[in-house]
Formats: sequence, structure tokens, C-alpha cells
Amino acid sequence: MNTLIAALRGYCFKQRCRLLRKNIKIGSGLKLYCKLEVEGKGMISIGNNCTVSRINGDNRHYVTIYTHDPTAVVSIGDNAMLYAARISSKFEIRIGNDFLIEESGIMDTDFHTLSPDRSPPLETKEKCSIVIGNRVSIGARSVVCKGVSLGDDVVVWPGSVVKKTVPSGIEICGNPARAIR
Amino acid sequence: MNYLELTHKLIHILLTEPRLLFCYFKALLKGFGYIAYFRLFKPNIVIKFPFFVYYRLKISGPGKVFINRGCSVYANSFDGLVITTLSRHAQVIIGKGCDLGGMTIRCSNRISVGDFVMSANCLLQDSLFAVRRQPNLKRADQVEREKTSSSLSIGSRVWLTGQTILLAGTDIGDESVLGVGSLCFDRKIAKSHLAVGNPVVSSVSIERLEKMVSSG
Repeated sequence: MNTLIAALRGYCFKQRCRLLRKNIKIGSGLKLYCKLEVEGKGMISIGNNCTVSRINGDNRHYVTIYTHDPTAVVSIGDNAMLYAARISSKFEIRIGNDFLIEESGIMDTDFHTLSPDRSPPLETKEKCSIVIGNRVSIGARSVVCKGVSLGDDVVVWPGSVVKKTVPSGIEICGNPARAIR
Repeated sequence: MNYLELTHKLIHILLTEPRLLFCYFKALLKGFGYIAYFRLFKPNIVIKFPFFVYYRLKISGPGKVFINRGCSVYANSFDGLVITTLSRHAQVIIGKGCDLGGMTIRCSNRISVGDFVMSANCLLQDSLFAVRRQPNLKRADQVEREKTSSSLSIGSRVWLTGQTILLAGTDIGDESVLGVGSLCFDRKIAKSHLAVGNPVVSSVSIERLEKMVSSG
């Protein structure tokens, strides 16, 4: 029953985006178990058979995808599972297929400089864009910072802060995140 | 906490701050409501009287949950107590007199918390992910670890400070303290030790720390 309602909500959201918001492209079979908040004028594309939900038993969080620039790009592959994820992009975030994220954030900008007036920083797309491979899973309460690229099959443990590029097939943990064993 | 202690506490509140007595009774009544609700509709959840609920409480899932008497749920960074059991054989056992503020528990095997534990916005999770993936997407060692997933146990009079995360294999001894923002997995912390770090690597004896502080 829940699945049916979620599929219906996903279908309605997709149709609404097709009519009103041309910058959002959504594949077939989206399931919306909770609110999906999309803001900004950047291009957002979500693949087929994605699930948007909150973690079972948690009723505070929902999924947000923000773009802070008209040229920003967020693209998520097929079969992604977004559980209480917070994605905010100024340049480019590319995520592969079979992605799992739980209650954590991905952001490709620092939003402010270190100077006291906290003005927007001078960042370039080449240095800051995030690339995430296929079959990556990210645990609860962790953050992926700007300029990081994660290879295929990477597992990010809960509570880690990822600041450096990680090759494929590695489990990382801690602040800053390092390989385990 | 027995009834004698309860009445002592009541008299103490009445003498020091009579305004708090109203909040106290409200929490007691709310807790009684929760106990009655779970006894009627969810037989897998057992909570002993008295139970004080000052903030939101949510317990869900098919597994067994047992909360001993005298526990209280406080607000801590907009979180109450959230307990989610992810499988049918999951077991959550919480000892008596615990102050559960902002604690989130996601249990798939077994989590036991001792008596008089203090907590602030911490996450106890005995599997890496709360969401189950299809087995063809997992790596072989990951599947193997899930089969041999160990339980998580916390001793008595432990203080779990803010933003801490405890994962499978953690075993914290009595009267120990876990520092702010630390993450602990596959590690045994001995009795009355302080452990800090993300991830926790080593722990220091509190007795030794106090000696160092007093000697300057």
C-alpha cells in the first residue's frame, strides 16, 4: 500500500516537473516516500527506479537537492536510494548507478571565504566538482566535501568527513576519512 | 529507582522549585500513556513504570524493545528518543534510571544499554546501514561481516556526550566517558576510561587524568 502511494506521488511529482520546471528531468519509476525539495535553477536529472525516503522511524528529515547557480548540474544515476540526503551544488555533482546515501550531505562548495565578511569564494569548476562512481554507499551523518571523487564500490562508514579522492573498492572511515585495515 | 527514591525526589522538587512539579507530573502522565498504548497495541515493546517523557518518543519496528523502570526522555538538539528495530530478531534492552536525551537507536541484532546511562544526541547502530541493499550490489566481505555482526553493549553509569556514533562491536565498560563527536567501532573500552576521536583509537584512564589535572 505504501509503495503504491509512493509510486503515485513520484508520478505526480514527475508530471509537475515536466509541466512547470523544465530544469528537472526525472526517469520512470520514482518512488517518493517523503518530501523531495528541489530548489534553484540548475539542471537536475534523476535516473530510473529511484527511491526517495526518510529512514524508518525518523520523522524530521527529508531529501533536499539545491542548486546555487544556473550553470550547476546535479545528475543521479539509476536505482539510487536517497534516504534523508542533502545535496547542494554550485558547479557539478555526478553520481553513478546504484547509489545509497543515508542522512548525510554532499556539497561541492564552501559557500563562504575565510575572510571576516564571508563573501562568496572564488572557486573553479575543475577543482570543486564531485564525481561519485557506481555502487557507492554512504553511511549516516557523514559529509562529502568539494573536489572529491569516489571510485566504484566505495563504502563510506557513518560519521566520516570525506575530503580527499578515494580509489575504487575501499572502505573509509573517520575525520578526515582514511581507509580501514 | 524504587518508589522510596521517587518520593524522595518528589519532596526535593516540591521544596526547591514547586513550578517544576507540574512538568514532572505531566511527563509522568505522558509516560503512563505511552506504556498503556504499547501494552495494548504493540506487545513486542515493554516499558516499566515510572517512565518520564518530556519530549517526543518514537519506537517502531518488529523487534523486541525493553526499557526498565525510571527512565526519562529529554529533548536534546530537537531530538527525543527514536528506537527503530530493523529485523524480527532484533533486541534493544535499556537499563533502569537512564537519561535518554536525543538518542537514536537503529538495531538489527542486539543493543544493550546499562543502568543510569546519560546520553546527548548520539546514534547507536549495530549495522553499517539502516537500509538493506540487494545482495548483488554488496561486496563479498561486506556480506560476510553482516553474517557475523556482533552486538553493541554499554555498561552502567556511562556518559555518551554529544554527536557520538557507536557502531557494531563496541563494548563500553562501566563509568566510562565517550568524548564529543567521536565514533567507535570494533573496540572494547575498559572500565572508567575516557575515549575520544573519530574513529576512537585509544582510551585514557580517568583516574590518571584526574591526577594529571590536580598535579598541574
